[in-house]
Amino acid sequence: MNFQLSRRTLLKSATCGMGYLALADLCRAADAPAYTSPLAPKQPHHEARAKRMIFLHMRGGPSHMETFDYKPALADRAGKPGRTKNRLLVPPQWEWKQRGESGLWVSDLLKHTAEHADDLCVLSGMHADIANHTPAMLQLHTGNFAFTRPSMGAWILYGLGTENQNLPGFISLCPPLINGGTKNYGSAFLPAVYQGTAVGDVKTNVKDAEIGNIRNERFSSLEQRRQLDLIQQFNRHYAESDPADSQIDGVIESFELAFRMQDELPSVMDLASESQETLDMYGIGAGKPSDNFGRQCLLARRMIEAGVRHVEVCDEFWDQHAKLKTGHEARAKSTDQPTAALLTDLKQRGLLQDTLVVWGGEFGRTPDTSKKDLDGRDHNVKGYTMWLAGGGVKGGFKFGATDEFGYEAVEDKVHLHDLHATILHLLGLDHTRLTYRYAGRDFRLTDVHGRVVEEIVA
Amino acid sequence: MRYALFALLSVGFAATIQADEMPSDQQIRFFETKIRPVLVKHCYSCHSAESEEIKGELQLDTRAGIRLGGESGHAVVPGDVQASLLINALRFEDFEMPPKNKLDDDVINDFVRWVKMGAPDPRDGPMAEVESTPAETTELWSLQPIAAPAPPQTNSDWPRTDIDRFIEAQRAAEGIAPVADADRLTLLRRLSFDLTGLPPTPEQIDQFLADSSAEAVASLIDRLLASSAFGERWGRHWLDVARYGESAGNSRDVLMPYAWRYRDYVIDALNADMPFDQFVREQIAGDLLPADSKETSRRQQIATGFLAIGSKSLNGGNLELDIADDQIDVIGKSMLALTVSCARCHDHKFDPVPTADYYALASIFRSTDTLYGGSTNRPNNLPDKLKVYLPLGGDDFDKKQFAEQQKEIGELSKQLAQARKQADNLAKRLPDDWKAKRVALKEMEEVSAEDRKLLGQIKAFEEKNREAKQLEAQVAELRQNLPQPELAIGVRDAKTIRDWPIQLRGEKGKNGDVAPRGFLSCVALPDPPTITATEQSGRVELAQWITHPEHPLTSRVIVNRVWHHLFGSGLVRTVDNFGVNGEPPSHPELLDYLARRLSHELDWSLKSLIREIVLSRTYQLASDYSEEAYATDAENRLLWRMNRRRLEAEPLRDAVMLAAGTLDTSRPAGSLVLKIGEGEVGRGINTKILDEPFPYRSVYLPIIRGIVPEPLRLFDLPEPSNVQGQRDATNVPAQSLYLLNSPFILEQADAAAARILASGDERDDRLKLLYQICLGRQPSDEERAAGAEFLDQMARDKPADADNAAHAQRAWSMLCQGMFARAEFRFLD
Repeated sequence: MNFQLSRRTLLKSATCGMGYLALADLCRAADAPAYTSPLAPKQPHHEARAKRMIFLHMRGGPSHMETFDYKPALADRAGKPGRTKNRLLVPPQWEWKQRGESGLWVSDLLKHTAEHADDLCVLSGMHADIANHTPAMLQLHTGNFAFTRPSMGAWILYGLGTENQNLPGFISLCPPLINGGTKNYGSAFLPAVYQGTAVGDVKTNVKDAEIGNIRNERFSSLEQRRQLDLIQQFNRHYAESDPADSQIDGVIESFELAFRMQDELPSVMDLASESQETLDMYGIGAGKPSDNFGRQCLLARRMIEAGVRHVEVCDEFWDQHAKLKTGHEARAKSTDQPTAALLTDLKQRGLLQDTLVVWGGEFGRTPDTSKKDLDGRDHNVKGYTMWLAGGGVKGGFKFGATDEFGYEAVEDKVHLHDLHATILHLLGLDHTRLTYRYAGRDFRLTDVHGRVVEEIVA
Repeated sequence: MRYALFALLSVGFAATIQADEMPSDQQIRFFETKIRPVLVKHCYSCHSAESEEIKGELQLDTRAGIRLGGESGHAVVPGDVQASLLINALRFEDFEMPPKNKLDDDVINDFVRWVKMGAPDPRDGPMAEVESTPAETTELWSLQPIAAPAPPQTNSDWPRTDIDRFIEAQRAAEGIAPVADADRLTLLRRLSFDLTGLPPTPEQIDQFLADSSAEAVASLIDRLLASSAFGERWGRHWLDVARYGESAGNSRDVLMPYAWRYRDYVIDALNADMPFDQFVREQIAGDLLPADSKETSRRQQIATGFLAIGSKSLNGGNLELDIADDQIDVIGKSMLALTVSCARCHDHKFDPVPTADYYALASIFRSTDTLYGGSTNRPNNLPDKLKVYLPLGGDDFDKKQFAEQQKEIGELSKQLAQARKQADNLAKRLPDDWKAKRVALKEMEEVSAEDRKLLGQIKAFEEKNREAKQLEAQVAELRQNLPQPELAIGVRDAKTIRDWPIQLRGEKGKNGDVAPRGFLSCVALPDPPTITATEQSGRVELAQWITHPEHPLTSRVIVNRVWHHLFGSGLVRTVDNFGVNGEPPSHPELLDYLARRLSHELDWSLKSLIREIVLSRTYQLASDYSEEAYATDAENRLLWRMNRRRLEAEPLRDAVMLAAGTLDTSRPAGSLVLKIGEGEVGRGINTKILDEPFPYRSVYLPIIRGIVPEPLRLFDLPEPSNVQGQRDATNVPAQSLYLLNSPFILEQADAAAARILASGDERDDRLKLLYQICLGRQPSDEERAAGAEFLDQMARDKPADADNAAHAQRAWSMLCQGMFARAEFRFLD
């Protein structure tokens, strides 16, 4: 076994860390598989239109009739009974205008987003299966509301790996603690490496959030490096004892990644290098209603720019059964400007063309209400709106429609499964081929459903 | 060898290359340049494993597939152009392929040439599973009766046990030599972790090394099997496949404060070496089994928690059917390694499980009430609790006495409130300094009338106050002694026992034929139990059916799980799937031998089974590398060495704490979830207690499905809602960050350092102790030097104003942490 000897000699002259791994490959048993990180970038199934994705999660169900689905009939019949005697039709609460060159209808509630109308691909024929927040949110994130399944971000990471190994590949900013909680960014039966990393939660502003164990409160970087060198010295020795085993190489690599992540992640999270102009554009500033969401959006841009595959940002509750007007207004004040700023920023940096941005909630709202003051809307999963922008979708484009009041999708309907299939398609993945065998069956994000909505692909 | 091994393993279609038909390099080049690209471009989209739907059951992406052909016949018959339907189709004769455009004649001629030269094809590997009809799957190996193979005869003196004889026969047939036996310390550490989930302590190491008798290993094994840590280790293995959790999980994460009783039941059953068939029967039908004592009846009720602890979608959906589905799923996967629940909406695509069988089982569980603790409205009084929980002992709980006592408490409480109010009123009339005044008045010889009045008032107050205190004590005592049933989650038979209709496509309300209660039709048993009783759900019969000694799955599945936990890989590697999509066993005869031995000779004793396996020479091999053996069997399917395995999350955390001296190996009462009480994650429950130090073994950490404890979550605890008998072993930065930076690891390192520093003054002795408590061995010279160098360097860098002792503690703490973090600590050789 003289190759072990030469291996050891070589190792003595090698410095710690990454150089070692390349070297280790040389020294492996001839046909032993080299260690590859499960997170290493992978070839997509076909050419990707989007390389990464940001999901702007409007939790609680924003009203399509107040945002992107123009219903003049609702204004005409305001206060009259809707489909049942006891429920009265609620008029749209904001003015409507056609925007941009495309003439896409967007209400005044989202004035900032409206300026990007020509970039938006509005899906107004969305529908899903269940109208309670929690299961609906789980279906939105995992495709299934009854069983624990991997989240979309986990599937994407499993399918594509991630570009920057010093950062998590899938980050969920300020996710809710309820409504399925961790399941919304979990990996279920996929290996745990594909689960999302949460930063903050819905009750902890992202400004105050920390990623677990990213900092050592006790040792200086130099001290820790010295400690790590000792650990890696032992690890390399241990790895040598079995030239066919790549597991220990994986351990060694994960320590080096972790060590670098300690520097890189806090620096991505630190907005100090951003100009005041940028901060203002995102609506970031103490006391501003858009501060938290603005920070999330800016972080999302910084993260995907640094090579994170999938980022989700999350807003508070758009669930106005009552006080629709003030409630939706507050949500818009929190999210509208940052959303527009994100689109502007991505465009300026040339990132929008291969970054898919998705906006929406777990469902929409009803055209009618049981409230006498006509200031509220309830859950509606049969027809609602989401929009996509960037990464390979048509801009200034509306696809699908609800009936004249907005009760349900009637034309060019897109089920959540179809949306999932389309998102994967844009990312270069075939939803029927992105499978994982668990307990004897090949599972998919779309289960046995899903149609790629080719009509919206640019 | 690889091909031969493949043939040995496969039961289905395996076109193997015989040595004499190995294609030449030139032939392979022809295939690679002329044939394969055309297949990929024009055929694979419909006829490969990657196809959305494999058309005509024809698969052209493997040698096996192209020769077997599809529905119409063989696609390629080497050397026979006429019989090769592929050529027929390319020529657009009886078939026309590719369907849109006929390929160029040049290309077709290449295919003709290729077939004539014998269709050389290097694409080995099995075909992807095609949808097969149940007629073919009756051949499924796992459903065949369990054979009674005799251990192979051998002249070799290598085998120590019958297990070794099976292993050796197969290994020798491939000409592979085993590596050497493991050294004693390696074996000690392996056995300790495998049997108890804990590393050996320095005392245990000394004890074992001091025992030079021939029975040293056997008596070590017996000692470990007898330790209560055994059940904590092996109980957790079962909890993985029982999808154990302490909250509803999925949508509304409602806590299940009594789920822990089931956890403790499992641990106790393993420790008591309860026969596995009894263990299964109790979990499925414990409430219906005869019991000779209250203790037994209580235990059997708790056992049915198995059916109640699954995760549930409490916020919409189809709860009643989903619960039955979860029960069918967990029984199917954990006990039979079959994905029965696939048949909820359609006949199973791969395995011989028709929808009717699924609903036969569903009828059993829909005739069962599952008391899982209720939904989002949490019960806060006993009557409400009794609607959603199972009272243990049943009749022991005296409802009449409970009512009477509650009434009495009510009355006394009223009196108490009144007495308190009166006392308060009396107190108000007293001056603030009445206590001092009374002392002063006692000293005085003469007391004024005014003061006398004051004394009277004081006396009146004190009497009332005493009365209130007495009442308070009485109420407290009554409350204390209120007859409280112990609550658990589990099942009992429903009031209505009936056969339910098939739900078409799994949807509620779309009724098909009625499915009489029953079992899986694909399993043939001599004298199978049948469900005839109309007053019982049929769970007893189901349990008898599963534990029938001739059941082809039950004993094979558990034997394989045990093997998996001891070798890191099962004889059947797909431990949860013995169906068509699973892998066939590497050693079918050994599997049957062990299965039959467990069910017919060892009285289903898992401890005896484990004992026999770990006493084998195969188990006691070193994990050494062998170039020759590796070249033939890289995956070590033939067990020429022991696999190097990563410790799971629980033994890793336990080992850190044991080394630090902070582990309390006793069992905590209940669970932290019980202490948190009724409620729902994220909605008003106080979970602060989860952040407090938890000194007990990891198996007792609370498994709230939405808040899985960090050290378990990071190190691949399976998603607690899913059955998963084989854990992942990932290596990711989040784990490294945890080992480098988490407050928990830093604290444990501090404790370990303090322990080592207190043990003596000699650096060398300290280093020895460090290695003993962390790795169960002595440091090598190199390691001793590296450790010393690290300490020296730390000493040189000591700031001038730093305290010597504190600095030494810091240096040693870093060293201890380094030991916890190093790979060897979390791998088992």
